[in-house]
Amino acid sequence: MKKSLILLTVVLTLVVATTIASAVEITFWSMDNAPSAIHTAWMNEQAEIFEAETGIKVNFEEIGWGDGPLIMNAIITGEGAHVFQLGTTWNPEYASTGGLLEIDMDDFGGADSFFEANLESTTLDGVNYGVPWFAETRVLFYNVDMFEEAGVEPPQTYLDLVDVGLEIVDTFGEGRAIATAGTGAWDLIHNWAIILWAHGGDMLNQDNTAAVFNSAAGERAMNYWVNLVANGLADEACAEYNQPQADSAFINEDAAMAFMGPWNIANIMDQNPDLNFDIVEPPAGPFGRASFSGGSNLAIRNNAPAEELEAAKAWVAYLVSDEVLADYTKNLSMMIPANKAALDDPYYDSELWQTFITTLGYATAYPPLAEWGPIEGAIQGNFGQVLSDYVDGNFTSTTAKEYLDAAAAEVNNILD
Amino acid sequence: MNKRTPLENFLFYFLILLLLFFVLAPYAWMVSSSFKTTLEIQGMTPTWIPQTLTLENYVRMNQTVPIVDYFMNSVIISLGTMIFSLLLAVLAAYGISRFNFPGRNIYILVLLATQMLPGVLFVIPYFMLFTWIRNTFGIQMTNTYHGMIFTYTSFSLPFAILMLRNYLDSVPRSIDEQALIDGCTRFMALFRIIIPLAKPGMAAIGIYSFIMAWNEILFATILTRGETRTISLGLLRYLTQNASRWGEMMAACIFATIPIIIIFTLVQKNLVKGLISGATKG
Repeated sequence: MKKSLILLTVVLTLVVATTIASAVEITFWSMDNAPSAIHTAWMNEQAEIFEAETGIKVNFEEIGWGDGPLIMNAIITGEGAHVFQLGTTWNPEYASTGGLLEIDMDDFGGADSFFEANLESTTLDGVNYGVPWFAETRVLFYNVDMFEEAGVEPPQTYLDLVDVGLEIVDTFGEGRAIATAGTGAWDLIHNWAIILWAHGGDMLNQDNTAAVFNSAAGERAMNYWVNLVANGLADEACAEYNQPQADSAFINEDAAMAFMGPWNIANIMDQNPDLNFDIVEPPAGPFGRASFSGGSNLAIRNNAPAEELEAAKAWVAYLVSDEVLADYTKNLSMMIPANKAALDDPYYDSELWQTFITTLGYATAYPPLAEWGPIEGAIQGNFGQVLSDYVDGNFTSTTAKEYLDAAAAEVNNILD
Repeated sequence: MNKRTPLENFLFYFLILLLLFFVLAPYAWMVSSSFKTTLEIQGMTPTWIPQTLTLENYVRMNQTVPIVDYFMNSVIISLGTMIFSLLLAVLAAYGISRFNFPGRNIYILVLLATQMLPGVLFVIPYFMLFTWIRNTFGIQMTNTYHGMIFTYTSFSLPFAILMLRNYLDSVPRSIDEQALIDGCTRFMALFRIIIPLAKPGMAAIGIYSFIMAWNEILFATILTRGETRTISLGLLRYLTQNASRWGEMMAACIFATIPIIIIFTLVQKNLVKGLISGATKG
């Protein structure tokens, strides 16, 4: 009896040890898409549910948006995360290192499951290297109380926006109509591109070999943007604003309008829950309405053993599954699920979210190029001074074209 | 010595107050902002005195970013760096100060040369070195306390050695000789006689090493992750792509400043003495 018991114990120990040894463990890095305490708790809870379902252990680590080098190191050395969040404009650049796993979208519900612009952002030379996670786009937020007091309706076109803005300036004073970002804005290009597209312009030519944003449409878009300050609609302080500062000016009720993304709903709830605000689609230009499509994708590094790659794919599939994704976007990131089926959640039936979803339907993503990072840097570097130049009295009728041409020359060098 | 006229006195104190204002105003703003609401901080009219006093920023600073964990990581890494820097610097500085060995001057020159190179040059070599150590010996170096202590000790060591050498040069060699005559070994002379005399110099390099490790960002960005992230990186995380949580950041800055203030207060006397001695003998 005693011998049998010892034998049974040995066998059981071996079984447990083998199970532990063969249990797959992966690491997942995501940015701080929500306050750390609740974000980490949610991720750890999901990791536990996932482990119970699949036996795969997921270690979650939160990283910052400035931790791009950390991701690059993980790709090169194989040390660090198996799965990581990438901004949509980052995905092709990281894919160009050859360190990301090629994705068969059929493993994740098929290409049709995702918003087209977000899906395109995962590609490099037509091959998918990521799975769209959540999406964002910019719409026009407006202060309902300020609009009522000024007796104006939300603008439907860019010309309307100026007229409405002037009425607001008459009622509330100069600089109170709209907040926009200037020199310090990381996403200055996104806000300008919205106006560019609405005026019929584009960033690059059809085959992505040359810059075309220095066209007449580009010039009109830049002059329109500068005139928001020149006409007193936006405060001169905007020249120094980064995007969160521009957002704050709206949230603080210092400005009646701002182009902002869905995450700002959380910021409003947090910082000024009494703000009476609403949103409308971006105004139409001569070529219709346009907006920027961004967000984040989930990518897998390919220098890992096969069983870890399979585990990583299973975790990504879990994160983008309808219910899990809807729970994440509506309670944590306040973004739009990139998986369209997740939008069936009744939470997204509200008029507010429907405006975002409609806008996302026609929003444009930048071309999926490995060189997009440096291209964006070149454009930001040149455009950053435009509003400051106006404020300093150095903006003449030729300045917009000069900046556009300088940026285009740099971009063409990068593309050569 | 001539006595100052009332006008000179006025100018003297006015300049001191002006200097103090420029030095202390940012800290005063930091303290003030840490008690303000986000709306007030970001409002168009800046205010020195919080209009609505709130402790919310202190309550939320650890919910938004795990700043207490990062604080503890920084304490461990900075203290480790300080201890190892002191230990190694005192041995090396004593050697340079007291022995005339072949290659001594070249060694000093190399130590000086390391101070001329920008830190960014070492990022990739360190990362490769750490990867090589892991692959060859199976010792994990990135994302570990010992890896960061090793990194920061190697940065602080050259300056610490040179500074302490200057200080030890000011301690007469006859003291060592007397200790040796009385039966001490070299190590006993160093640890029982010289080190107690060199306390001000050691305090200076100790605090230098601690602050260097406490404030460093570049290497921490590459070599640390969740479990070992330091407070200097943690502070940056209050500013994300989508929001700037200035109030919480100010509260966390005050929290991060506490150990530096405590250490400065404790060693202030020795620190000044050590720095002056190093400067005059250099």
